[in-house]
Amino acid sequence: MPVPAAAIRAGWALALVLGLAMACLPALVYVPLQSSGRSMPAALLAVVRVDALSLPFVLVISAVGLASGTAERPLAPSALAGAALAATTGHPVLFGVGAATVLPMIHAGRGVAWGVLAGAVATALLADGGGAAMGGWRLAILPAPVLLFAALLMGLSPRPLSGARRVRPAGAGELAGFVLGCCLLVRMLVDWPAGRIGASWGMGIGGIGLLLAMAGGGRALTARDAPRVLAGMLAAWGGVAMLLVGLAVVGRADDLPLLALGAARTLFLLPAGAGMAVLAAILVTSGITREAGPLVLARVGGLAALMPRAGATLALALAIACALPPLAGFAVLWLLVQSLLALPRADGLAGEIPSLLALCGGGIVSGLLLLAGVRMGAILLLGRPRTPRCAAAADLSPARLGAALSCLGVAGAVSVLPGLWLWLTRAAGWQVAALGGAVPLGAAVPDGARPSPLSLSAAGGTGTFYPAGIVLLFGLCGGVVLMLSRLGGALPARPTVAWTEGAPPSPPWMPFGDPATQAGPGLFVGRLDAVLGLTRLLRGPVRGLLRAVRWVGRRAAELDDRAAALTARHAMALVLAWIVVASLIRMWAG
Amino acid sequence: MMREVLAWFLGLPLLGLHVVLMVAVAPVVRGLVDWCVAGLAGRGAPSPVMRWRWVLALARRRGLRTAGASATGLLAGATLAAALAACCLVPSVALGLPGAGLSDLLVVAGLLGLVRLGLAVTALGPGVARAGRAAISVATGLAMMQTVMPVVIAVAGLATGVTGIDGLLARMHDADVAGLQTPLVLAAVALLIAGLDDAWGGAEAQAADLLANVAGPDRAALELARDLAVLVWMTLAGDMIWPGGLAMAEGAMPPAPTALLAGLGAWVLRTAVLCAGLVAARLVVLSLDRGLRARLGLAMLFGVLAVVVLFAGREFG
Repeated sequence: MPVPAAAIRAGWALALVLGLAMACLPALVYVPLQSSGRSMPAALLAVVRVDALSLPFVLVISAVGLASGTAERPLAPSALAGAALAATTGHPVLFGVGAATVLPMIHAGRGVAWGVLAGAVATALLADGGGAAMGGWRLAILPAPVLLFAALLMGLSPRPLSGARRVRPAGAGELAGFVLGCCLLVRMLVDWPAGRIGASWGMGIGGIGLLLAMAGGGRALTARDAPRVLAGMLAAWGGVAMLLVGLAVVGRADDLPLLALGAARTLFLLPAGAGMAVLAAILVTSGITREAGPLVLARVGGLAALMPRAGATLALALAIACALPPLAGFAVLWLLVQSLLALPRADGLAGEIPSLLALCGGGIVSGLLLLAGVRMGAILLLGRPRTPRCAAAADLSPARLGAALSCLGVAGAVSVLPGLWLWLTRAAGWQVAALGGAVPLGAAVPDGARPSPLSLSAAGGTGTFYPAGIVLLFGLCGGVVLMLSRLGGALPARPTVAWTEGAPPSPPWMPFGDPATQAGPGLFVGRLDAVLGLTRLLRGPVRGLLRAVRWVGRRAAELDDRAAALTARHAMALVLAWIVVASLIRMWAG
Repeated sequence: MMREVLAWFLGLPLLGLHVVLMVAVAPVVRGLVDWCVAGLAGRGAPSPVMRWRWVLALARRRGLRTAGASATGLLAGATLAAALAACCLVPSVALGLPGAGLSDLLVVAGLLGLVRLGLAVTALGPGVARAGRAAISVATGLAMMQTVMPVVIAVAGLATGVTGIDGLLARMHDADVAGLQTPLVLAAVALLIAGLDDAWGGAEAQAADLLANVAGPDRAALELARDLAVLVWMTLAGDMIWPGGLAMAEGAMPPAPTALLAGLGAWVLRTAVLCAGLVAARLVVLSLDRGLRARLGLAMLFGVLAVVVLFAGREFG
C-alpha cells in the first residue's frame, strides 16, 4: 500500500523533533532501560535506542528525509529510512545488517557484494568480542573491512577522473550513504572496539581518506554534468570525513582527548554544514533540470538571468560546499588544519613530514573543491544560454524552492553559529574523546572541552575562529560600500552587449553564439593541465611505468602458468615432499 | 571589564584611521610600482597619484553592464567589502585594535582569495572568451596556491603556538625570537609569492582582459579592491618580517601617540621595501603563463624551507 508523502514527511518531522528534544534534554538519552530489561520490548528498546553518538547523524538524516520528499528517485525515502534505522542502532550486528541493507539501495554493481562482505566481516569481528575478549589480531584487521564498507557507502573511489559510467549522479540517497558512512566509521573504529586501535592505523586511515578526498575533488573538477560534480564534491568531503576519523583514532590511541574531540566535532559539523549545502544544491539542480533540461556543462548557461531565485540558492549552496570563508565548509577545513597542527609528533623534522604532507593534501582538496565549485557555478549560471530549452527556462516558484531553502538555512545557521550545533552534539563529542558521557552529562568534562556558542576553538589551542564575527564584519564593510555608493550618487548602469573584440556577429545557424567565443567547462581543466603539465607527465614517464608494470604482470602470469603446469605434472611428488617437510618441522618443533 | 570596554571604544577611531590610511594608500602603492617599473624600463609613466584620480573618475562615470550580467554590481560591492574586511583584520601600525581577536591567517588568506574570486566571477559574467580565459587563469592560480597556505600556517603555528595574526605578532614582538625570525621571514615570503598575483609580468595585461567588460562604479570598486588586496598582502608579509615596528597597546589602553608615529614610519618603510621587491620581481622574472607553476614551486620551496630552518634552529641552535 503506497504511503502518502505527507505521512512520510510527518514521520521525518517527528523524528527530527524527537532528536532535537533528546539533544536539548540529554537526560532522555540516558533513561535506564537496562534495569527493566527482563521484558522483551524493553530489551529491544535498549538495543535499538538512539544513544548520544547516533544523535548527530539521526538529526541530519531526519533533516535530509524531511527535505527530500520531492526527490527524483523513488528509492531515496526507503534508503533514507534504512539509513536512519541503521544509525540509531547501538548494536554492532543490527547496525551492520542495516547498513548492508542500505548499500544496494544507493549503489549498484560489483561494489555492493564487496561492501556487504566487508560489512559482514567487520560486524563479525565486533560482535563476538564486544567485551574484553576483543584485542590482538581482531583490532589489527578491523579497520580494513570497515574502511572498505564505509568507502562504498560514501561512494568513494580512487579514480581521479569522472566518467559517466563510473560515477553516479548525486541524489538524496547518496547523502544518506555519506552520513551513514561517517556514522559507521565513528562507531566501528572508535566507539565499539573494546581496545584502542593503534595510532599507526589512525595515520593510515587519515592518509587513505586524504587520497580519496583528492580523487573525489578531481572527479568533481572533471565531471561533465552538474549532478556528477556534486557527487564528486560529496566524495571529497567523504574523504575528509575519513581523515577526521583517522585523527580521532590517533587522538584516542595517544591519549590526546582534545585532538579526538576536535576531530569528532569537525566530523559532526561536516554533514550538518557541507552535507546540507550539497543537499540544497542537489535539490535545486533537480528542480532546474526539470525546467532547463539535463545540466550537461557543455550545453547549459546563463541561468542566473533566467532563474534568479534558483540561481542565487545554487550559488550560496555551492559557496558553502566549496569552502568559501567564513561558511561551514571553510570552518571544517579550518578545524581540520588546526587538528593536523595538534597531531603528536616525533622529535625533529622527520616527525613533522606526515603532518606537513597532510596539510598540503588538505590544501589541494580545498583548491580542487574551489575550482570545481567555481566551474559549475560559472558555467551554469553565467554567460549565455546555449540550448533552446535552456533559453526558455522559467524560474522555480518559492514553493518549489522551499525544501532547498530550508536545507540552505540549516547549512547557513551552522555556518554562522556552529557552536549551537556543537552544543547539540556535545555528548557525542565527549563520548568519542572518552571524556565521559556519564550521568549527569558533562559532570566530568573539563572547561576547555565545552563548546563555545560563538566560536570554534582549535584542538591544540592554537587559534579561535569566530564565523559570526567575520560575517558581521563583512556585512559592516558591505554596508559602508553601499552607503558610499549611495552618497556618491552613482548613476544607474546602462545595459549593453559584451565586447567581442570586433569579431563579426555569429551566423544565423548559431543562434546561441559561436562556442569558440565563449568560456566553456573544458577551459578549467585545460588550464590546470597546461600549468601543471599533467598530460605530458602521463604521456611520458607514467605511461612508461604503466608499460613496465604490464610487462611484469605478463612475465608473472607466464611464471604462474609454468608453476601450475609443473604442479599438475608432479603433484604426487609434491604432496609427498610436503608431508615429509611437515613431519620434519613437527619433529623439530616438538 | 570597564577598562576593556573603554579600550575598545578608544581603539575604534584608531581602527577607522587604519582603514582610511590603507584605502588612501592602496592605489598610490600600485601607482608607485607602475611608475617605477615604467621608469626603469625606459618608458614614460604617469604620476603615482594618477591611479587615484582614475578610480574616482570611474566612480563618477555612468556604468555599463552586459545584458544578463545584472549581478555584476552586487559582485563588485561584495568584492570590495571582502577586501575591506581583510584590511580591518591585518594590523598596519598598532596591535590590539578592536576586532583583532577575529583575525586568523587562514581567514585573512581566504578573504583575500574571495577578492580574487570576485574579480574572476565578474569577468565570467558575460561569457566571452577572452575575459573568461583570464578569469579561469585567475581561479586556477587561486586554487593552486591553496596548497601553500596550510604550510605557511603550520610554520606560524609551530613557531609561535598560535595562528591568529594578532597573537602571532604579539608573541613575536615580545618574546626572544632569535630562532624564529628566519623561518617566519621565509614563511612571509612564501605567503607573498602565493598571494600576490600582481608581481609577475603580464599581470596588468591579464587584469585588462579580466575587467574589459566592466565600467563605471563597478570597475572603480573592483580596481580599488585589487589595490587593497595587494596592500593587505604586503602589510601582512611586512608584519611577519618585522613585527618590532608595530606599536603595542599598553595594558588595556591603546598605544601612545609617539609609538603610533613610530609604527606608522615602520609601516611606510616596510611597504616601501616590499614595493621595491615587487618592482624587481616584475622587471626581472617570469611571464604570467610560466609564472603560475614557478610561483607555486617557489612559494612551496620557501614554505618548506621555513619548516626546515625552524627545526634546524631547534635541533642545532
